[in-house]
Amino acid sequence: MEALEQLIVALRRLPTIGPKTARRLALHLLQRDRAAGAELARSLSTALDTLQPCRQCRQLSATELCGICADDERDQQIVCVVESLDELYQIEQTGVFNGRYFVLNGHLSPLDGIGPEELGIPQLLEQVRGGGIRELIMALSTQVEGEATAQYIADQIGPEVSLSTLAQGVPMGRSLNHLDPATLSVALSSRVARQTDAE
Amino acid sequence: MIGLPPVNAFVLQRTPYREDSWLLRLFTSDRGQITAHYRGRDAVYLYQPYHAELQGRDDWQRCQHLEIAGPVLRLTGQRAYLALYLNELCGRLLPRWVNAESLFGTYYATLKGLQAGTPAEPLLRYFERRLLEQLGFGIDFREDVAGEPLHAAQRYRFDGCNRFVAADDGELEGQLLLALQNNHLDQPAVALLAKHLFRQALSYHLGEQSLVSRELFRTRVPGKGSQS
Repeated sequence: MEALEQLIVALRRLPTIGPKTARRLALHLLQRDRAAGAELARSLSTALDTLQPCRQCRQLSATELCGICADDERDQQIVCVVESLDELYQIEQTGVFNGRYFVLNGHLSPLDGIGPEELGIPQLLEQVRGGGIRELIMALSTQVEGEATAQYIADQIGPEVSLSTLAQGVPMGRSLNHLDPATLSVALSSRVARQTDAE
Repeated sequence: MIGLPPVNAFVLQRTPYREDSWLLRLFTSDRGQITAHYRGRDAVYLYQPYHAELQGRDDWQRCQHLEIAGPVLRLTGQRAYLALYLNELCGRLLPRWVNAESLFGTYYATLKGLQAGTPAEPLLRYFERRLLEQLGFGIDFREDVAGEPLHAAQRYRFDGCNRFVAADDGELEGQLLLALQNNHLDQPAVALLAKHLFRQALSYHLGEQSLVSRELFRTRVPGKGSQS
């Protein structure tokens, strides 16, 4: 049963998977749905063999430059900085952003030992200094770590690059009753003047 | 199982745990640093005063309830670095299961000061001094290692931890040490001395692993100042 134990240990390395869940998943793949287990093994192996971080933006790609970075139709001078691939996909789903991305894979977190190097920030700064970027959009977490990360990047670049951050406040379709005090206080402090028809 | 009344707490670090929980590293007023499991995926904020209801064994606390106990402190710009620096110091050095009420108050006051735009250097130095005292290694400004009171006209060397050694060729002036004893951090020479001394003393306790947050204060673009 050494192979079973190895599989359980491997599954436990996944985020949010504890020992019981790992055992349940392993037994499911080995006993109830061996076809799914084989498919998972093949897909994982193929993905590991073929996908690597894009040389420019660090998102996963089968080619040296990902589809977005290689796309001449997109504005390669506007770069949206995100913390994870999930967020990149979310922004892509909006269909309104036509620039490219830089994926940090996290945010500054000194207690976790995560500093600028771990986030690839030197690589981003190298691209900025190389020219060709006119705007950086900081689409980072609204908590202090995201703020510190955006500030660190801002501190390292000169005025030739325009910097912006996503607006913060009340989510679309949400009632104020469901907002926590921190979100509500940001929404109040960053309120905007109401546009009237006459304007 | 031990149930205790709610405690004043700040979250120093939160890590997602499974799909529905957080592992929290808490700075509590009456137990120092503790780690607790908190079930619930609502946002948990750093720099937000909480009342935490804790239960369980010493080494595995469960946070039953986390109630907001005051407005969240918003630290923006370079003040965000300073806030992370405070948390890194506390997370690395604050002992577990000790009463830390006084330091907790200083931590809260420091954050409020940073939010209000109070000059950061004196706030940080005062916090560092109180942290060293909490560790039981407060710098002794009353007397030198020989038991003699510090004199304004004497020069001293620092032992790297918390004591001074009288030495004619010492790099530290007695009068500045006495000013630092009285927290005259508004004087630039005293503030510089405090930074130098407290950094050495903290390094003694931090060991070889340097603080990640210190890297953030190094800026490369001229004209964009920094402080730590």
